[in-house]
Amino acid sequence: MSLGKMISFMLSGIGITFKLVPICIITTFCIGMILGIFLFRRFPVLKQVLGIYKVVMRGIPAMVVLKILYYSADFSSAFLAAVVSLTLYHSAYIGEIIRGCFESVPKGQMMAGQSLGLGYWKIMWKVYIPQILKPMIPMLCGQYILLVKDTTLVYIVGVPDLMWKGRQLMALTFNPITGYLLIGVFYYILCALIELLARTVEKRIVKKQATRGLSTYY
Amino acid sequence: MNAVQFAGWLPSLLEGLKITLCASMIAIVTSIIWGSIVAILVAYDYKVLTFFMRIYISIFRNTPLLVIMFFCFYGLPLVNLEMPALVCGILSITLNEGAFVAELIRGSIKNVPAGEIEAACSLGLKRGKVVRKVIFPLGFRNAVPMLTGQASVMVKDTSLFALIMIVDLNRAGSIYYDKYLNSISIWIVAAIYILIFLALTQAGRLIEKKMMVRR
Repeated sequence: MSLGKMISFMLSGIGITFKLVPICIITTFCIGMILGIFLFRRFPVLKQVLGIYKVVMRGIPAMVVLKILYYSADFSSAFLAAVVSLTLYHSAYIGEIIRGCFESVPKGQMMAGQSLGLGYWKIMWKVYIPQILKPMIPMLCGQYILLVKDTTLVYIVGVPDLMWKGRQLMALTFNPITGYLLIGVFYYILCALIELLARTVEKRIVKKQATRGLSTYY
Repeated sequence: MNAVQFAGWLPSLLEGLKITLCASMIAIVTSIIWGSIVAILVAYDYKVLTFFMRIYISIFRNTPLLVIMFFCFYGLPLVNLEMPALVCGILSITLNEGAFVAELIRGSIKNVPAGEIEAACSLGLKRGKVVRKVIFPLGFRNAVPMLTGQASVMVKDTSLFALIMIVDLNRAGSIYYDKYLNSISIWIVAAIYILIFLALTQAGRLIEKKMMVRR
């Protein structure tokens, strides 16, 4: 099989990866944001529950999370199981990152907000979140690169992503060296793209906040 | 899960636990050593060498470990580089996590106060000696908390061994599932992973304390 044919065969699996990554990025960001706020607020019972969740997700490998969910719960499709398990797994890390960002904002800001008569959620929305947007992005970018790399695992439950196609190709051509090099190059490009995106977004946020006259704490 | 089934499965579970523990210990040590070497080479600041090390770090941080592992396991035998699956797995974890460790140490080397380096230079130490005796030890010590965090990631990385025909903890769970279609074994495996993680964090705390006292 020629190199061109090999590439076109593998690219047929790209669609799933390109669907999986954005969905997981969005879901993990939403859940991570909520988790981050709850972890920062320290509700009495919720705090312990979230602490256990964090330890569990940091202790179990992503592959075991995927297997547990896929084998124990009744998912309608393997793709859904992959999304749910990757979301569960990475939300713990992202929640922790966002909590760290909230902690780094000085406490006086909360008091200042309260003394202006703002409610808790309004302070979060108007004071805290604009300030953490910039420092949050490089850290989130690192975590999302890990997420992209973890999507290679979903082929074990039968999601026909790039890795799956690569393994099929290997069975067809008996040429694992070229096959896995191609997959590696693809993932490298994908991660580089995410890094580029993160840098662009960071620059835009800085620019936007500067034009609004909002000087960030950092 | 009845007792007979469990008794039949227990030996493979213990075997898997042994492999996971041994392999992750070896992988943690080798990747920290290899990462330190890379970090030192980057800190030397020779143009060509640093450039190549940067490329190495960038490549191995941005490609999935699974791809590297499969490349080593299926690809290298074709160029007459055959090695046992366990060596293959540990080698790929070392290459992959070494890049992360190097990046962590490089980050904390950046934070070494300039005064320390200037003091070393003014004592007449050469560039190489400054890096080896002053910059690296200080940077490494500051990186210890992050390295203990990274160690738990390496333990989790060994779960990928299941895909290159090694019976590790993860694979042991699948063996029971494949036989009796009962996912309780995977829950047990997950619980063991959590226990390993907790033990590792405690060990990490002890190490951090020791490093702090010496200061």
